[in-house]
Amino acid sequence: MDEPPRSAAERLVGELHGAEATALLAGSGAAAGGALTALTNPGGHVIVPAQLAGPVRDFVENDLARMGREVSFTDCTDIAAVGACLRPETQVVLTESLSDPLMRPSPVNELAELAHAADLFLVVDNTALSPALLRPLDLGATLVVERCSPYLDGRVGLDASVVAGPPRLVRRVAAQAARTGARLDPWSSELLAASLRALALRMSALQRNTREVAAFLRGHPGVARVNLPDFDSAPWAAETHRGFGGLLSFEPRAPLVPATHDESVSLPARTSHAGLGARRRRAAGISATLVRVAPGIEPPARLVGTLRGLLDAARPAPPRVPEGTRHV
Amino acid sequence: MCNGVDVTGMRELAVASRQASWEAQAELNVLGTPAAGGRERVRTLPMRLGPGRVARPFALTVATAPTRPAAAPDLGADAPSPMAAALAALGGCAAATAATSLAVQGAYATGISVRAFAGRPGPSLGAGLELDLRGDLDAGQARLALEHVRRFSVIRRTLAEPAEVRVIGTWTGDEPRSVTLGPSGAAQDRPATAHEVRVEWEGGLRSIATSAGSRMEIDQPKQLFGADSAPNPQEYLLAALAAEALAALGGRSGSGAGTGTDTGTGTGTGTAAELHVSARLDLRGWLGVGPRPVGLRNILLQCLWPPEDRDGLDRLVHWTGHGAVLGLLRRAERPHTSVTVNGLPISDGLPVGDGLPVGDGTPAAGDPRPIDGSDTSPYLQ
Repeated sequence: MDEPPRSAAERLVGELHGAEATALLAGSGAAAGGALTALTNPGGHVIVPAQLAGPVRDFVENDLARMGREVSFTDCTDIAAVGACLRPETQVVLTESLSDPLMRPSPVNELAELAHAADLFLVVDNTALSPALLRPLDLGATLVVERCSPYLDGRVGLDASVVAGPPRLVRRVAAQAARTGARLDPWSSELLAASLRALALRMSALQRNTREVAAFLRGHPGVARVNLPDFDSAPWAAETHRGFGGLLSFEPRAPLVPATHDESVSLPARTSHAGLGARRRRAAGISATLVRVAPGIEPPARLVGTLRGLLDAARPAPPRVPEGTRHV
Repeated sequence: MCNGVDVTGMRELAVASRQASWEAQAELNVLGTPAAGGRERVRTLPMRLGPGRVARPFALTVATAPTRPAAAPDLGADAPSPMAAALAALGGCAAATAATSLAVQGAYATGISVRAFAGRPGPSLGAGLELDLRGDLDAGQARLALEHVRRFSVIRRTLAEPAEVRVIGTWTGDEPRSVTLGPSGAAQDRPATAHEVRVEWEGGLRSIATSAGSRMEIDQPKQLFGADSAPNPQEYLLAALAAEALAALGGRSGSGAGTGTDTGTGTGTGTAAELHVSARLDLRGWLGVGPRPVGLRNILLQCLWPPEDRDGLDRLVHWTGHGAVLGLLRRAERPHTSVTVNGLPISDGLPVGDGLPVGDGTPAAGDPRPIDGSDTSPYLQ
């Protein structure tokens, strides 16, 4: 089996992650699904985040189980919770570098220590931070997987994902994914390569805008809690992270009703995590009213205006005065 | 990919193993428990392999009594004996090694048949391998495949070299005690009857072994370039040991080979005994990287039996001196190995006794060939 020639996009992602090998795969869940399958055997066991959603969640819950793997869902940002799930047949821990939608940063270096001590592979889904803000392989992760959209491709909307790590393992993942899909087409690969060159610039703008939106939300009386990590709340991350990305979420005091067509403001319980069902959402700590915000690289004034409108509209009405009551 | 063997993957593992020794360390485990009707159940446990784990929970049934369990036909009516399982390991490993060797040489094989045997007449244990390679192959390719089988077949080297086998027995009575037996160089009983297993290579590292109505699939985990379809040869060998020891604890001869060492105290109905067998494997030896041992090392049997069985320790001690499969390991005799191509014998051109180094890879006296991986690894040429 000869090594396929690497595309420009694969070389760039490899350089960004400090990876010896990378493979671009068609399908946003192909890299994570391929990694979980390639690194495990029938009869094996994997640990994945409880709040996992989207095509990877579907794959893990349905396909992976049918392929003979057992799956434990837990809070993968909590080392103790991960440790409590370990079994003799555990082979892989999958974690997201930033748990979406609660935006908790994953202590990748500590998880890597646990994984190495227990002879496990640690796979980090770094979609939310991108290699511009976190390089999991430097911290001891076995493999890193990322969806290309929205950050790597600059919101072009490529339905693709990338896996990076040691050549032997990347080749296994690529071979696994090739059974049900294919490598990314050359045109998409070229688009991605062109977009990657400005990744650091985009992530810088995203972080700046996200902090601005968070500052507005923290000052609004209709907001109970804002979920956006920083180096004050996660000082341990100063050694590992260069930032916390361009996503935040908040808990309003009264339910919001964002426009369904607005992708920058959404309710995870009704969109990305609707498929989990109420019980599993509660177990993962995702309330029905939690709002997820994804600022773009454009100035956030319009987004702040949208949020202000939603919060003001949701403000509880003043208590009604019973009939017959006299005001003095 | 040639002969279904992922040569590129093996080469990558060889390179990775040379750079980082932990990538090449494997630990295999099986757990045996008695079943009814003179059968033992052996499960493969997760294997540690380099920085990760391999989990393939296969269950094997091994027959340690000659009678079929009519009342329990699901318990392996045609289960192999421990000796058949051990010979299947020997033959399956040789077939996979020959297929790999031919793949490395770029030679396509249409078939590989192996006869693995033990107990043939002669002064030794009479164990050996006869390989028949089929396809458009020349004598040079066959000779190199034979040499690779002699050098890199893990089970053959395990049997050929002095292997440390430790047995720890623990009695769970009100006065628990453990005993460690061996390693010792005590002579073992040779099999009283001849045994033979036929192995047909299926492709890649997969083979099917047959013996007296029993059928055994042999494969490797995908991490070792197999297809996860069956236990690997090393697990078969450990399963054979586990079954034989369990049978001895249960008072049967254990090998299913007529060793004549049946203590005659057991009824074969099964006890609550449990037997864990583990072994270590340095894949650098298998890959020919550096002067590393090729065969299994640190073979450890840990037996646990119930308190009401006060004679278990005596039977276990007896087994360590007379077990047929254990004897194959502890006698450390090189299995005779020969090759034919499309049925025609090939002169191997090697001196008697293979001329191959044994033990930790130190060249034997008079052996001009170094075993250093940079010179001998088929994957680093």
